[in-house]
Amino acid sequence: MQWLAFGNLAFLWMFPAIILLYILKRKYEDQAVASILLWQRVLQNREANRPWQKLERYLLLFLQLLVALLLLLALLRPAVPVEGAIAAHTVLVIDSSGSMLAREGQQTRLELSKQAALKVVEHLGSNQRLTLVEMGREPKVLVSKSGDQAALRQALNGIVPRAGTGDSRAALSLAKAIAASEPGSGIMWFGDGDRGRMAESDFSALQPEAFRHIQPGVTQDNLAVGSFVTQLRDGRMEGLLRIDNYGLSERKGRAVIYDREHRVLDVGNLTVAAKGSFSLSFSDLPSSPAYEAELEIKQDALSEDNRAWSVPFASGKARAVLVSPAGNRFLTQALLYGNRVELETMNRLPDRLDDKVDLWIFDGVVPKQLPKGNLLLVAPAESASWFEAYGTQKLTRPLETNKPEHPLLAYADLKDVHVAEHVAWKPISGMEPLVSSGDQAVISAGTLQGRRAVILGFDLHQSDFPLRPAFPIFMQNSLSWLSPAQSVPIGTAYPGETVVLPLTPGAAMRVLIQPDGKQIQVDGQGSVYLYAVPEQTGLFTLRETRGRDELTRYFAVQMRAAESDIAPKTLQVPVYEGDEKPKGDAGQQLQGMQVKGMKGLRELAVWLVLAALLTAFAEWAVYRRGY
Amino acid sequence: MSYLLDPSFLRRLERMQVVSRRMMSGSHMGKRRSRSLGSSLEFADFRSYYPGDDLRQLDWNAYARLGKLLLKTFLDERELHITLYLDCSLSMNYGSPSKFAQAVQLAAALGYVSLQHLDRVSVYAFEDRVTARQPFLLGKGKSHALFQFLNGLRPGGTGSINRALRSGAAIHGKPGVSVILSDFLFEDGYEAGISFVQASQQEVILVQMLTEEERRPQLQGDLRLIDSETQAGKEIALSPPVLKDYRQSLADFQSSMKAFAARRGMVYVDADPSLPIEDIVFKTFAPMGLIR
Repeated sequence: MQWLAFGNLAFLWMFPAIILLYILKRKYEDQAVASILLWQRVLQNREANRPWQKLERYLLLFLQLLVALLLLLALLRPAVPVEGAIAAHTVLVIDSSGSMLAREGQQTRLELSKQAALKVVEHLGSNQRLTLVEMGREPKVLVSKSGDQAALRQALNGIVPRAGTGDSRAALSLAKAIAASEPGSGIMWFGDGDRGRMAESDFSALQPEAFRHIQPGVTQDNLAVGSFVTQLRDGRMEGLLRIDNYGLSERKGRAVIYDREHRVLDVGNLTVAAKGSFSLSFSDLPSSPAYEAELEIKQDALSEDNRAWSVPFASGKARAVLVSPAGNRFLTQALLYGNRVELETMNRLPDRLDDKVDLWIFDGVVPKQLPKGNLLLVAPAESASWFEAYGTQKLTRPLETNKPEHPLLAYADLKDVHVAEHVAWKPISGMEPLVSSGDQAVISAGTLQGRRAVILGFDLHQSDFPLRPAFPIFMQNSLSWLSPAQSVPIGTAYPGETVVLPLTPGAAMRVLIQPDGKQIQVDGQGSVYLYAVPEQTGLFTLRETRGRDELTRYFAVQMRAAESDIAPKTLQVPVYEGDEKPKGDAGQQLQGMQVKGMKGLRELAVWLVLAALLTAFAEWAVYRRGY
Repeated sequence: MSYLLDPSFLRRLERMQVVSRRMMSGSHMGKRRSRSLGSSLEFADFRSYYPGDDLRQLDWNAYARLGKLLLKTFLDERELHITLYLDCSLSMNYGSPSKFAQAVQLAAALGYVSLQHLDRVSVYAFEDRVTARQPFLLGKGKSHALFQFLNGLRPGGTGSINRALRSGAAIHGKPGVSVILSDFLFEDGYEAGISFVQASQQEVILVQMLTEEERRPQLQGDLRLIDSETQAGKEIALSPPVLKDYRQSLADFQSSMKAFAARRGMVYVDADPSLPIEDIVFKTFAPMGLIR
């Protein structure tokens, strides 16, 4: 409760005035009676019952005082805080990540959050302003410091549900930055409290009253497809489905496997313990370019993660050519392993480089012309128009892994690898060093004029790399990364994120078909195409025409597993006592963010005036009846 | 004085008499059966003849049967002494008809009844002292004097039954029935005065007259109540709780008076002056056995 016009307390003089009037007004009419003997007794009795009963006879006075009190309260303009903006300037952050699609009753969490935010907009005081931030994959400011309710409402209604993740940390940073730009700002967070990359320290600079988390979520019952993999083994298609239960109770249901044309292939029953996982395996699935698994369960809060798609491994082979004048047994063996590429070996550089080759491997030679396919350069000691080598150098510093998260280095541990000498080359834009020695790149990977390329800067014979377990793994990773054809699936993409689509070299026309049927022309130069995945899940189709062939590849877009954990969590600003509060830069910056008593307020003055009016009527009635 | 009491009412009254619970022993012949033997027609006993006795009273039949001279004795019939005390304080002058007017009529009725029965009637009007009296009226012929006396009474002054009745002037010394007509609303109480009257061998009948206004006051607002006698004012803001308290206070007052009367062997009559006088006599006094 707040008093918006406390100064009006000056009207307190009403009370003594009324009492004074009452004292002055209290004029007794003379009334002759036969005897006041009995009245005297009455008065004696009543005076004996002081003080309360004595007050009864001043009913009118009390009613008048009540009217005055109500009017005085109305003048003070009391207001109660309602679910409104918490500060003069409030930053509303709306979480629109996939977990907000979870249903709470009839509505999704996002709808509930939007309604709550709309309420804030509705109760916006005349001197209050809002900034609306949508916590998308990247936080977006929809409306900035506006008091325009129509614009805010429109922006709010424009927030659509997404299947992707949200960057809560970035959203919080943005909100804090906006809040810090104006003293007396607050942040209201509408979301289910998924912390994402948020750390406790992100909150430490906030004043507890300057941050309010509005939680729309209640339920946490959710079953999700954890993973769905299909693979051809011994000529039979096998499928493995893992179902994760994020809820607190055991769930039963069934899983249905469909093929590309949505025909039922197989059905399995599932029982998933609370917070547990359950695996179903399917063998001998009929052949299909892609499979879909769908969970059939009752009462699942989030249905978007009940479907998953799988594109079976190795549905086509890439054509690779190894040019190795000196011959390289290590390389040949490593490339042949797994029978993943159709390998052609050459002793010298061909006069004309074949356009149809998907992957060129040059061991110790560098072609004058850059071929069309992807490239793996091993010990490139020569210079060409597109490549400049500095010559062979001794390596004096141990190898350092710069990009351990790069797919080429997945599971490949280069710690114990020793290299005697290597080729130094001029850095190429688009290529990044994965492994280096000092400031010299030893292994680089990246995009070279629109095609993928890996440079292994040393002769394998000058190193113990081929003897390490890391070598075959690295080579398989390289094949996966460099093979454009569907020798490996494109991989699972996530809504709202970008995916790198390896393109088939030499294709004339490429069309990307979204699950909703929308077709996109892909005019990719080179061997990769960066595709920003729209906010939808499902099976995407990439159709390429190369000559008379039509190549169709699929990739699945599904929600990230983190979004399946829909358990509501609370975000709050930790309260520190005394000097405990850390004094960081951000803390200094936000020192001024003290939210003054500016809650969303509903004024009660109107009701008080009404009550005063009613009391006045009551007073009149009392007066009429002569109490 | 036909305007004081209606002639037909008077005729009805002639058939009534004031009832007394005790044998009367007045010095004048009346119509009351007395404990003394006397000359009424009511047989009492036989006794032996002594020379000098009235021969007319010898029972000759007994003499014929027994040969002894026996004298029949008869109960003497004596008059009852009715004393009417009339409160003439100003507080009686309220109500419509006023308590005083009704009290006068009631006194007239009771006095008339008593005179008709050859009872002796004394009337005392008092305020804080006896202001007028008409003692020892006897015989039907004195009705006129009674009515005239009553007619001449006017209410006025402050009342005090204690002081008035305890002054020697209010007591005539003859045993009998005393009827006190008053509202009994006296500042200094009523017990001492009434007890004093009872002590002078009186059967006391207390007739309390309270107007409708006193029983159920219809007053409202902030009032200064002015006592008609003392002119003392009492400021009071009237509200339903106050009026409720007043009715409770009145009930307490009446019940304490009833208790006093019962304790002292007196009769308490709550007479409503708003009723016609006939109703008071025949519907209030008669059912209580005070007159018959």
